[in-house]
Amino acid sequence: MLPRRRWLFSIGLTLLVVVGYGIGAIEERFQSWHADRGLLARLGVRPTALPTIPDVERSTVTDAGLQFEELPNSGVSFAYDNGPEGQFHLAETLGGGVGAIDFDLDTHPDLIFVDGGDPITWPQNRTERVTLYRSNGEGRFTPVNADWGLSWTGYAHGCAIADMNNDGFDDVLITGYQQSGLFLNQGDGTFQELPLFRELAGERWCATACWSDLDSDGDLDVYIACYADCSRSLPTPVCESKGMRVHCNPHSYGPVPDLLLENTGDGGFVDRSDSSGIAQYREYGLGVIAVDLDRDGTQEIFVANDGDRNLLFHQTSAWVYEEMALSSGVAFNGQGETMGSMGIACADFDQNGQLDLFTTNFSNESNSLFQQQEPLVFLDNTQGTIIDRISRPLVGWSAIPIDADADRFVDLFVANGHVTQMPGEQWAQLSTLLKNSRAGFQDAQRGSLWLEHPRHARGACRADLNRDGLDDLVVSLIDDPAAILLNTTANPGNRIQLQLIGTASPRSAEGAIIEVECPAGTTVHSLSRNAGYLSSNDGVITIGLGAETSAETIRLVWPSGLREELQAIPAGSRVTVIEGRRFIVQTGWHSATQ
Amino acid sequence: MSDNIASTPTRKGGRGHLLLPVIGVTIALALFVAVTRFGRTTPNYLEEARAAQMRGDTVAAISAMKSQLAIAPESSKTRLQLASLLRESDPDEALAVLRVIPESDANWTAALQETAIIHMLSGQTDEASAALEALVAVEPEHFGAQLSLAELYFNNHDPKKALPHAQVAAKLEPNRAQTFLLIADIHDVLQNYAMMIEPLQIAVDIDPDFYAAHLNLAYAHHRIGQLAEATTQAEWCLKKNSREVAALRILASVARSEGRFDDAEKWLAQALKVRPEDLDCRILEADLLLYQRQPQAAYERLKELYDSHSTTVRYLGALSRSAAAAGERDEARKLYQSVEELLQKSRAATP
Repeated sequence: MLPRRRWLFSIGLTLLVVVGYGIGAIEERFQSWHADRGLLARLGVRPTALPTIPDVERSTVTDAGLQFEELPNSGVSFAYDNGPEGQFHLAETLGGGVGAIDFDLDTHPDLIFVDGGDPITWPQNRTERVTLYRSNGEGRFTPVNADWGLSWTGYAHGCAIADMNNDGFDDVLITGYQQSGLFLNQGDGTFQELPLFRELAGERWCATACWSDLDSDGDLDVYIACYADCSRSLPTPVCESKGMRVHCNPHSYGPVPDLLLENTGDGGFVDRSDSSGIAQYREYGLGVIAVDLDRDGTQEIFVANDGDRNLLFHQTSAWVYEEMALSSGVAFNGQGETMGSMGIACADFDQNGQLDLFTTNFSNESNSLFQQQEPLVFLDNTQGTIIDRISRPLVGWSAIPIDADADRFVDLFVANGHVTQMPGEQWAQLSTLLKNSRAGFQDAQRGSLWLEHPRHARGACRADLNRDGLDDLVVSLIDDPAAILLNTTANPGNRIQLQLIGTASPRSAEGAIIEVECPAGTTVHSLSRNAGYLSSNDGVITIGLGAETSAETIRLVWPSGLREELQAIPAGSRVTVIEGRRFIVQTGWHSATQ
Repeated sequence: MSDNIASTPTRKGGRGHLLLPVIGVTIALALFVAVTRFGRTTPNYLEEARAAQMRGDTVAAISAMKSQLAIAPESSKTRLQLASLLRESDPDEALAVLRVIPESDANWTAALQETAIIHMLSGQTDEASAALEALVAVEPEHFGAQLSLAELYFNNHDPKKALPHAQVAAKLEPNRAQTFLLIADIHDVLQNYAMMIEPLQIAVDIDPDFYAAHLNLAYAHHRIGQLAEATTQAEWCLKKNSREVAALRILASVARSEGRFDDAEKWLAQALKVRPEDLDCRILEADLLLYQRQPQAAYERLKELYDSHSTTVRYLGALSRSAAAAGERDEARKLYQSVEELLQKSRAATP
């Protein structure tokens, strides 16, 4: 048997045993795609019993009550290689992302990491730069062998995971320095590249990609934030700071326009960058997120730019956008200054019913929390807050909104690390964990050993890796093995998990708005797999209920515009909702029922 | 003629008799000339120059010094004095006068200093800093040169170059509080707000009543989110000057950050009473109104400042946001367009 055949057999067997949980019926319009629908028709697979995690490094509880511990022997050994020492190519500074991808549909999030290499010589170097790890369901991972078809030898930064062809299987978009590519999951454990995409992306240097149904036609389009026009030739320009050789500022190079591609639903894409108006803005894009901020049924696109104003695109008609970051108060920080913005997090941090935006920024700038007061009216009141005090000396990248203790308030994890060794500043830096509450954020750094050591962190994502109903974190590090941080918070609140399956909406329901009503109040959530900087979250969303024993009402606003309500969902449930059809409630972990 | 042979010694003796007085007279004459010339001219030219300067006749002073220089062209002291007189009226000639002073001359560093002063007065900052750099290369502990270089670079929008010179100047004269304020100013421009604190603290340690240092401390603490310290310093300033708008604004902003909107309004009202058109206060006021869900009021209040701030990006951004919040979408778009044009102009102007 050929290696590929053996692989197919093993995947097929796995699928037969476990696939189907919450998958539901698939729309006929997707029949043209190649996946084996027969496997997906089976429902009713129950999650296994609660896994126990006996060997976390230690079990102290932080003052703020949040705790994450690195799982030793997780099986993940991937370390992002950003390039040779002393070369000072700008691409070395961005790092790489990580994606939570259930590529085999066994309901356990697997992990995909993208790698750099040498930004100068990558076209000649044939080293594979993507690593896939398969989960055993308890937070342990096994590298998948090289026959899986995702052949990528470029210098990569981002991985944007989404089911772009609505076949039920997660596909992978890899962005990188002078090359980006889209790989379609064939449903049999292998991937195949869509060559058209590589042509459309061309040789521009792109960072974060964000999938979203921008034209409400039921499939996911993509916005790609692109960075600088920096050549591959040697010698690389090297700058100096206080006698030290350092990477040059990106503004030493010209910016490149971002990309906006319409998914035509038949395997093709149309470049809408120019006609939509977005290409006229060239601002060193790094992070991007698409979310219906004003809840008008269309997705806004927020782009975090490095050293330039941020952009907020609001759709005025199909594929026509008005840039309105300035009028919305998110172009600059509260002091009217531009920031070196990298990553984005979006959540209703202040629980006022409006989704807020958070950007990670360069050192000597505070990260910024733009609180949405009215639809598309934001106020940055970060100055003087704990976010300001903690983030000012740090260079922030991924920002992950995560209700780590399930108390209904969305906490924040920020991956930090300086771009280069700068005089007087730390190169490796502590990442940040902030606990949110009615009183605002507080430092939750202490107590988690991993968080007490400085590192070169970049991309990060959120996923419930051990199926205990609490989101865990995965962080990609430069030159160090990636960290699998299990959420070991003691006495977390009650929570539910939702998996949304679109029918008229894209199958992944990216961008759906979820309102959860409890006696304690209503919380608003947005389903976003895009993790804001180079990375992708798991598609299952965890919602904290605090002491509430159930969610009285869950209101769903699907990307298609369909509104649905679920009543009296008990805490401890994992709910799969199929748009316009039915929902399945399963119980799978201990609920901290009061 | 036989007498000649017989009298040769005598003749010799006779000639010597004649020659000696001639030599003597010549020496005497020479001495006389020398004495009279030096006795009369040297002190007199310098005296003339001094006298002319005393009565404010720079032209005459210059003329006298030029005469003096004609007599003693190698005198670097005279050159320095003449250059000093020519500084303003003829800087080029002043520089030419100084240029010939060699590096080996004892007055070389004084000449560099004078050169720097002339360039500074002429607005030739690059040349001035070059002269000062040459000076500090020879005399790194020249306080005036180090401080001047720091000021020069700072005023010339090159804070990175200014900083090390200001730091050396502060070491050379550690009791001069103003130098530490300059260091803090430089850090401010470099947006190293946290690094402003230490020099400002030294400045107030040297001079506890140094108002500007206290006010800057309030600003720096506020910038880096140390709200309690910012409040302490702002309150200190308000005790000295209850109309200090910057301090009132900081207290208002701190109150807003801490969610004490009533206090924020109170401080802002005081600030706006003193300076009704203070832009930072008005933007903060608009923020508070937006928090209180009064976008129309925020827009109306900000709009009043349009004529005086129609090219300020920060103002236009705040106005555009208030307009959008108030539902004035067209107005918001127009303002956005203005900002877009300003940003484009600014980018075009950036090399």
